[in-house]
Order: sequence, then C-alpha cells, then structure tokens
Amino acid sequence: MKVSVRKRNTMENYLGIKGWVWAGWYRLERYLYTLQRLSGLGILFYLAMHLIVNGFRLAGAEGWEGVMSLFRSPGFKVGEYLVIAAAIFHGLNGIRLILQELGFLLARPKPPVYPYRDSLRRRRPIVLAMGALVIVFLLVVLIDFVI
Amino acid sequence: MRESHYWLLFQIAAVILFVFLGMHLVMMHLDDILHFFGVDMGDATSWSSVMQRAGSSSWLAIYIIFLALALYHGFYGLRVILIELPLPHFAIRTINWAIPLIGVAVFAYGIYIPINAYL
Amino acid sequence: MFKKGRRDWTPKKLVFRVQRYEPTGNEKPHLEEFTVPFTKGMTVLDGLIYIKEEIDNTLAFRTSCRMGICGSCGMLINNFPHLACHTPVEELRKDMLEIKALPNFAIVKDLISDLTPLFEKHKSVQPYILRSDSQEVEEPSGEFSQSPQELEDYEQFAYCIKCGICMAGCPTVATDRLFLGPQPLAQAYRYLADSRDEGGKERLLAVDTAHGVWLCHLAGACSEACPKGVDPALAIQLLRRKVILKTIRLRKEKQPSPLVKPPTEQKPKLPVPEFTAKHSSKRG
Repeated sequence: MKVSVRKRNTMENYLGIKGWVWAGWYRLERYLYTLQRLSGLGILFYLAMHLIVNGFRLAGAEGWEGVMSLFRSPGFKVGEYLVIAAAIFHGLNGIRLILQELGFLLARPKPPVYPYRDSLRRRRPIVLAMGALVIVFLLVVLIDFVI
Repeated sequence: MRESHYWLLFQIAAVILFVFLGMHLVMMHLDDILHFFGVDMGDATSWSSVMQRAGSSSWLAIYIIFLALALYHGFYGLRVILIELPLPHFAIRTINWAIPLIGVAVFAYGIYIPINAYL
Repeated sequence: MFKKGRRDWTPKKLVFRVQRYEPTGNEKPHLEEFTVPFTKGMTVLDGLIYIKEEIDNTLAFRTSCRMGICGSCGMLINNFPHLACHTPVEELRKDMLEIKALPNFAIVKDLISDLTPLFEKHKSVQPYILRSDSQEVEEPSGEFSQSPQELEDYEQFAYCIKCGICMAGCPTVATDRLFLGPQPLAQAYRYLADSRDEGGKERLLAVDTAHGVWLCHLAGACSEACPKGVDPALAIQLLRRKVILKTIRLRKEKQPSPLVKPPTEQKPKLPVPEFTAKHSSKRG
C-alpha cells in the first residue's frame, strides 16, 4: 500500500510591523516600547534637519539670522516643543530601560503563585514615577515656551 | 566586536547624551529656566552667541563628542529597527554596512561646520 | 480564577467566532460562528470540544491535558493569547468570543499553529544540563548538590510548558523570523543560572548575536501573556546582565555544583523478624 505524504501547506500568520503598534489588549509597558521607538525615530529625523540648518552658519550672519527668524514663527515653535517633548520622554524612559534591562529595577525571581504578577507589573511604580517626571518636565518646558 | 560591545557602547552613549542633551536643550531653548537659576546667556541662537562658542576650543571638542555619540546612538537604534524587519538576507547585509557608512558621512559633514568656524 | 466580590455572569447567548483555514483550499482564514450552550464553570476549550462533537467535526485544534500543563491549546481569544483550557468563559464576560490561531506562527489548519520554529530555536540554546563530565550526566553515580537558594535563582523559569504564547505576544517576533524569542532566551537563562550547569560559555555565545538577546526591548508582553507565571522578560534581562558582565570581564566564574555520591554506610537494620517462608529441602 502506497502512502502519500502531503506536504504541509501552512499559512504565514506573523503580525508584522502592525504587531509593533498593536497586538491585542496588552498593558502600558508594551506601548511605552512603541512610543520609545517612535520618539527615537522622530529625534533622529530632527537631528538630520538640525545638521542641515547648522550648515547655514557658512552663509554668514545674514543667512543665519534669516533661518533663525523662520524658526521663531509659531508653527515652528510647536514643532520645537514636540521635539523637546519626544526627547524628554525618550531620555527618561531610556534611563528606566537601561536600569531595568540590566535587571536592576526588576524583582528577584520567585516561584510563581497564582494569580501571577510578573516583575514588570510588580515594579509598575517605577514606570509611574518616570511618567510623573515626564509630565513635570513637559509642563515646565511648556511654561517656558508660552511665557 | 560582538553584538554585546555595540550594545554596551549604545547604552553608554545614551547615558552621556542624557546629560549633554539636557544641558543643550536648556541652553538653547529654555532661557527662562536659566534666568530662574540666575544664569543669563542672552539668546543662545543669535549669531553673536553662536560665533562666540565657535571660537572656543572646549565647545568645539564638546560638540564633536556630542555629535559622535548622538549619531552612534541614533544610527544603532535605526539599524536595530531595520534588521527586525522581514527583509531578505542581502538587504540585511546591506543595512549592516550602509548605516555605519552613512553615519560617518553625516559625522564628517557635521564636524566640518564647527571646525570651519573655529579655524 | 475569579476576582473576589465579582457577581456571577451568565451570557444571553454564547457565540464562538472561530477562525477556519483549510490548507488545501485557496481560501484565506475566515471566521465562522457557532452558538454554544453555556454551563457554569465551562472553559473556552469545553466550548470548542462541544462544537467539534455536536456541530462541526472538521474543526481542528490541539488539546491534551485540559488542565494547563501540556501547553497544547494556546490560542488568541478576544485578541489576547490564552490557553483555551485555562480560560473560563465567565472570566471573559463577553457573549461573543473571537478565537483565532496564535499569531507569529504559521497556521497549519483552523486553530493549529506550526510551533516548529519555536522548538528549533529552543534546541539551539541547548536546553539541558551541560557538564564537563558528561559521562556523569548520562550515567549518574550520585546527585549534584544544590541549595534551596540556588534553586530559587532559576526555579520560576523552569515552569515553562513551551506553549508558544509568549512568542505570540512579542513585538520583535512579529517581524523578525531570526530573533530567538522570549521562550528560548528565558530557557537559556534557566540553564545558565542553574548551579549544576557548566555550559555558560556556549549559551552566552548562542544568545550574544545580532538576533539574540539584544533585540528584546522590554515590552513585557511575553510575561503578561504567560499562562504559568514564568516571567520570561525577567529571565531575558538577567541573561543580558550576565552577557554584559562577561563582556566587561566582571563575570565571576562560579564552581558548578559538586557531585554527591550516595552514602556508602549501611543504616543499621531494625530487629524485624524474617517473614520469608523457608521451604525445607526434605518434604515429609
């Protein structure tokens, strides 16, 4: 009796880049990761623009002041605030990540007892403290921009 | 160099940038906060202020180091994001050498301006 | 299972929207609805078994122990990965349950995911005790001593049932086929932290690659979704610490657990009479 073996015909089911942003009803820390990526890319893009603008120094005082007066307009000021906000979030979250990724602000391993609380959730106060610092700095910078 | 060395450098750059960028942001954009602490720099983005810093060798050194660290941190992050994408092998290999090349080119452009102003 | 003080909940009409996919056909995965009678205390798996037995016997899903220990029934239930046997319908508090195959794995049929990549990556970190005296591991003459404190260093991560749910939650696994993933990395740490293991060098090299431990960004979804409380995210960060300490040459090489031979002294026997009946050679 000949037995034919059918080749498995599977269907790819990877979430892809959409999975970076949304994969289901996960908690805060997963979306902080998404925001850290987005803010990092935003700052990198700003850095590129910043270096190009700095090139206007070679155009002398007139060229420089011309570009600077453009950046004092309200539209650019809003953009500037957003970049600073991204940098504040990225920096403070980054410091938290450096410490937690080396296991410092995470709990010690302990045998799991139901209901399970993983170490990130047990150390949620650290995320909240970081969030509070971010908000304080954002407000201080906003006040400085508005005055 | 193994991947752990690159990652360690990335984190060290992050910590130093946190301090440098913080100072840079406060200096450039937050005059009122500086006034609050009794420091009056005037408009740090004005031509006169820029040229005053351009003539200083210590500022030049700081800017060069700052730019190197910022570009390393930024481009390593970008590389990590790109290699996570489901790209073919040749694309990943291209990214792995193109990103350092672009980074060095941007660094060269970036330091040309302050060195030019200093000399 | 249920939070204290929550009122009992009964659905008006329990509907399962189950993903169907036929590998030989040209159809894409689609959702089919089945009405399932509700019984108090039923799990999602009970509903799927009802559908298979009473409504549509072509529905395919993996199940074995039905008690949350074999890791077969990992599925996406209402957009969050669960073990179907471990998820009471009442806990979800929804009349309509959407059940799909685990994401970040290929679908074989209906709710069955192809976990081969998980097993291959798990094998690549050599998930077994490595000793210089491998003969002793194969043919033990005694036991390796380990204190309760040394056990606690890795015990939590030994509870992994290889269900693949952590891989379904990980954002890096969503795009990067080469990334080892939370389960293999956590298991690499489980063996690294085991005081009986001497395979530190091989394991650290296996994870210190461009698609190794460095692509974990502490999203924490793996630990959130893990049905056994293994907390792979914690294991990965502790693994990272070990790799960095080795990189900056600050890693202390610990002596592995010594071998403890069984006691050679015979304990004195109690004065119990011999009960064995002795047959005399002569019968008469």
